[in-house]
Amino acid sequence: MKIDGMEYEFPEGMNVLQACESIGIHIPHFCYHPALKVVGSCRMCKVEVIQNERKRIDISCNVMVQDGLEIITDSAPVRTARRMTLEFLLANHPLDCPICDDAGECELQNYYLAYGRNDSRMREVKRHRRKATEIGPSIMLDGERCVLCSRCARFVEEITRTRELGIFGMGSSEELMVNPGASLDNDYAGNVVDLCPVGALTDKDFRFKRRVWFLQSVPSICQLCSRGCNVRIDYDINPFHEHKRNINMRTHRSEATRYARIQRIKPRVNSDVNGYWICDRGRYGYRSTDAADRLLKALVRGENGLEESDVTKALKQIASGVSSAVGKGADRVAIVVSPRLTNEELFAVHRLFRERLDMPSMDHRIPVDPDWYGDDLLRTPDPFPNRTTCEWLGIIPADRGFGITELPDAIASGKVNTLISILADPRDYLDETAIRKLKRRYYILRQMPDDLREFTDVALPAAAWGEYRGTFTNFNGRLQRLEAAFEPLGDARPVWRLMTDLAPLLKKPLGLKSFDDVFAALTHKISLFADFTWRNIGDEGVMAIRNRQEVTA
Amino acid sequence: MTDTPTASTKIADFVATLKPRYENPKAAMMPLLYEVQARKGFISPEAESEVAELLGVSETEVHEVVTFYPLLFKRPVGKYHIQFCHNISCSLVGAEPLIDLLQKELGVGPGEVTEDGLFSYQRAECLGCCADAPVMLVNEELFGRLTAEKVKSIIEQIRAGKKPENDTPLTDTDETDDPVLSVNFKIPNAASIKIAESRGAYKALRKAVREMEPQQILEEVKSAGLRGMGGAGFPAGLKWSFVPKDPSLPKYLCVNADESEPGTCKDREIMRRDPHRLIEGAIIAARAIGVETAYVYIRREFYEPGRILEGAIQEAYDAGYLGKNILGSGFNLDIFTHPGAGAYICGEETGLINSLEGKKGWPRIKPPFPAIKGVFDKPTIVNNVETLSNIPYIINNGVAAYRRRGTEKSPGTKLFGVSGHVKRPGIFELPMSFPLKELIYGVCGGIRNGHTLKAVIPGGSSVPVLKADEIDVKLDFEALQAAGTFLGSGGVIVMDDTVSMPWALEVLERFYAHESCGQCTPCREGVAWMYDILRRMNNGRGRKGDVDLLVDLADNIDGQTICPLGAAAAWPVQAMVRKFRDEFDQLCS
Ligand SMILES: Cc1cc2nc3c(=O)[nH]c(=O)nc-3n(C[C@H](O)[C@H](O)[C@H](O)COP(=O)(O)O)c2cc1C
Ligand code: SF4
Ligand code: SF4
Ligand code: FES
Repeated sequence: MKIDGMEYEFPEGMNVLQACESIGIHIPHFCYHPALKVVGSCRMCKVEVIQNERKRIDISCNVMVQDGLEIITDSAPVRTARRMTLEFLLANHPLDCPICDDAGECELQNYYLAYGRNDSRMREVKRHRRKATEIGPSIMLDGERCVLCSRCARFVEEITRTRELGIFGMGSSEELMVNPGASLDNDYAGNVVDLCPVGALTDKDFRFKRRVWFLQSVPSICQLCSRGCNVRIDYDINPFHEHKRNINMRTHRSEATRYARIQRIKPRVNSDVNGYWICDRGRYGYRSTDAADRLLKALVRGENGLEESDVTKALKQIASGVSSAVGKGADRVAIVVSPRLTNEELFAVHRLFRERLDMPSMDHRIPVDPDWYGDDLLRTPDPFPNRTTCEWLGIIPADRGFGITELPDAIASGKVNTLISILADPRDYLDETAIRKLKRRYYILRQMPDDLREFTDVALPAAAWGEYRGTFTNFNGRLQRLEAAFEPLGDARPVWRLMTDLAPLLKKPLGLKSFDDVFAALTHKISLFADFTWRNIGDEGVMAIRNRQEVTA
Repeated sequence: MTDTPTASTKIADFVATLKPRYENPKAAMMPLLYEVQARKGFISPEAESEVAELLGVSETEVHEVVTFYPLLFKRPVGKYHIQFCHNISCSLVGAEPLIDLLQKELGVGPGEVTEDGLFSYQRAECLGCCADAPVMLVNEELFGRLTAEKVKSIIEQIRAGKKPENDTPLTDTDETDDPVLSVNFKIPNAASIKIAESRGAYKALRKAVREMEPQQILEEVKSAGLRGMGGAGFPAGLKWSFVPKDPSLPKYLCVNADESEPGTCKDREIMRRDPHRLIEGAIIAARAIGVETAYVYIRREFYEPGRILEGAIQEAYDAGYLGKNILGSGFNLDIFTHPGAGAYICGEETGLINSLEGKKGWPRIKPPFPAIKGVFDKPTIVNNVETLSNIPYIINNGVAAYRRRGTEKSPGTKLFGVSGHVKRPGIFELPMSFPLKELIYGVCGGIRNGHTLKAVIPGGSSVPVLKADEIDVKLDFEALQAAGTFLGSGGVIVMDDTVSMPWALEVLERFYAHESCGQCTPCREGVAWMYDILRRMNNGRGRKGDVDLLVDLADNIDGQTICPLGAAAAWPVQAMVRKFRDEFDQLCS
């Protein structure tokens, strides 16, 4: 078929809108969304269709590609149709763009610039609807900005099947609203904000926080369950914006006293992993990175209790402790690793402690938060992003070693007297008596809860999500990349770096100087990764194994 | 009233009787909501939850439906709820002063209830009784040909605890020789099956099931050239032929008895005066298409025609014309009536289908067309009441007899409903291609005394208006199209020299703005905008540029929407402004 005079071939079942997008011609649209049923109501996506020698204007979202079809995406009638649709939509629009969170990423704004730009001919009294209405714990609705595209209503009907939202009333007085008495409160509610082409649905979490044009983005992977939804970290590391904001909008102080860098999390489309969505836990679970209790300096127990220290001194302390423990047997040291570590971090931990020091007591199976649950949309039952690699590397007890379940006995009997707990609060798997009994308690942590201090001998600050690059392997065996948005705070650094720095102190240098070295060594170590380079993993990830769920099932 | 356990058990029983009628129980929503409303007077939030639970749907879906339809009451109404038509045909003959009077008499505004709880009233769009204008419904009873005295006296009688006397004359009718549709209109009690049968009812059905294959019926209707009478004029046989033949696939027939296009009031007369003709036509159509379940989607305001039709359907069951193994042929058919709720858009076939399924009456995008994917996503034919009522005649008398009248492309006869400023409004069966002038000046006795003709809307409110000097046209699909307008539904609205066109247009656009379902941007925003401009103009606040703006808006709504309602709202604007531009310009200097 032909589009704008050029011949193309498209797979059957594609609509003209998708076909045009696939060859780089953007068709403006509001109601169409590839994951939702086609309703064809906004009338924005008009193109000219020539079929059987007859020309007509039609909506590209409901015309399927077929042989002999000819499409014209830019002509006087098409431009008029788009301009008029915009004029109709703007007729009763409040034009409160200056205070709208969506300003800068609003389709109405974008399309008006591209296809509208008419003088307003609206002289009547504008229709009013409810503004700034809280329709759920995380979502605000401005009825006057709504273009009634019904995307959000279709989302809760077709995707979450929770149906909190409806379009009530009829004709020009109709209104998108939560059902009276209901609240838009489901595990995926935040997605309606991304679906909303305008600023009608906004995220309370992002409300009045930043102009979107101040934000920078990096692609990342959500670390809050084993699906590894593809996300984008939107951040702002220019304190100037923060200052401006504090001067002008004193009412909205961030809850963290420290200047927060991550502003919001948005899904990236990946049809093999998360489609268009992420769950609300992933969306709002970014605060730990800029949290007030971030561990920014190493802590070492000295004469006056736990004291701040430089990282090298702390590493030396650990090295000497580990050396003397290992002198009485390598199994004396238990290493507990959270499956939250990246592949590179897991690899470095494994290389040092298992391969070089031959320590048998190593485990990743820390208990799962009993409040976590999976569902049939995205959330998996496993709240850790990287258990797959833990299993592939074998971060489990070796012969003679102790795993997490055996640890309490092993500690009680004195067989284990040193603990290295990496990104895991030991209280999650040991009771206080056991922790007290340990001779040496070394932690690598991102956050330092105050009440853990008394059970600590050395604590090293680890880089938090957003501060490191790396890869995760999801539950299905998909290898996916995380990019660093910014530098780690304070002295924090990625766990692999702590390992490469600790290794020489234990007389076992790893010979890995950079992240690239660690990544390359990892792909040698795990044969399933042999074909992969940082580059060819790409933003969408690659399957390391055809379908891990099938293979292991 | 609180819900006693027994009351709610009964409602569950009621639901149980409804559910088998529909493939999806959600379709029982509308009748169920009416039942709830009948019990409690209105539909409360608790009632919405109860309905959601009974049907296994979400509360949001129920709330969407309840807020969409004007006849589902969100608040209590008076013991006597009055719906007064303020649409074009009624307004032409004085509805507005009567509504003012009513409001004064009752002392409440629209939507409010009088202190004694006795009355409430609402302005209604066209009630489908235009030839009897002005009309109002008091609960389920229609009062027509209203005057100030009659309105007062009806209120007084109700206040006095009496049943108000109803002297509305039976709608005036007239038929041509050998009428197809109105042959029984003047026969008393023709709605009773005995009388109908004595006059030949169900003869065609016998022939169709005993002597004809379904395909033969279809071919016969196709060669007769029967056109759709709901407005679009699509050939009925051709439409039927689009339905997949696969016998294992359930298929549906929907009889469109929503009759809401202002000026249109013909289907009502068929249903109240000769319902068996419609039933017989529907059964034969069902036989031709391979349908085993048919629904008559009937507008709620047709209380009396609805009751008569339901009685007739029951009689047809009892006589073995409906149900299992009809006339021993092995052919089964059920017909159920299904109520609308005051939304014009549910006359549009896909709006009707959604409404029937228990949803808001939002029209669907096409493709897919209903013949492929309609009710419950199954192949569905929607036909107008009048269309189907032609079928018995065609089967009995043959193609040649049917084609004896009219033209090659518009054969047969048609019911014309005439309203407005003629001496004799009514429903008249005339051969297709009958001259419009003769209809107005001959059949209808001309324009009311002392006035002259100014304009005619020949096919229901949506079609472009004709000026007095343009009425030398024939009433058939092609001739009217050549004259720049449409035959539409055959609702002829006649306006004399007293009528201000900007005023008439405001009345029409008020209707379309009210009836836009709200889906499509141009229709939802644009029609309301046009109405606002017209209202302002007529209030003496017209501005330079308004008229051009009005036309530009209309031009950009026309053809840009899912269903033709957008266009139906645009055509009157385009035509009235083009033909009576001076009147508009005068208001905008
Ligand atoms: C806004 C709108 C309202 C309509 N209302 C009616 C109606 O009340 N009755 C009717 O028979 N057809 C109505 N129609 C036409 C139907 O969509 C459909 O064409 C018709 O029922 C098909 O039957 P027919 O082919 O027998 O005419 C309406 C169409 C539109 C666009
Ligand atoms: S709130 Fe947004 S997504 Fe929902 S209907 Fe309105 S414009 Fe569309
Ligand atoms: S044209 Fe109007 S009535 Fe028809 S579907 Fe669109 S909004 Fe609804
Ligand atoms: S995107 Fe096609 S009509 Fe809205």
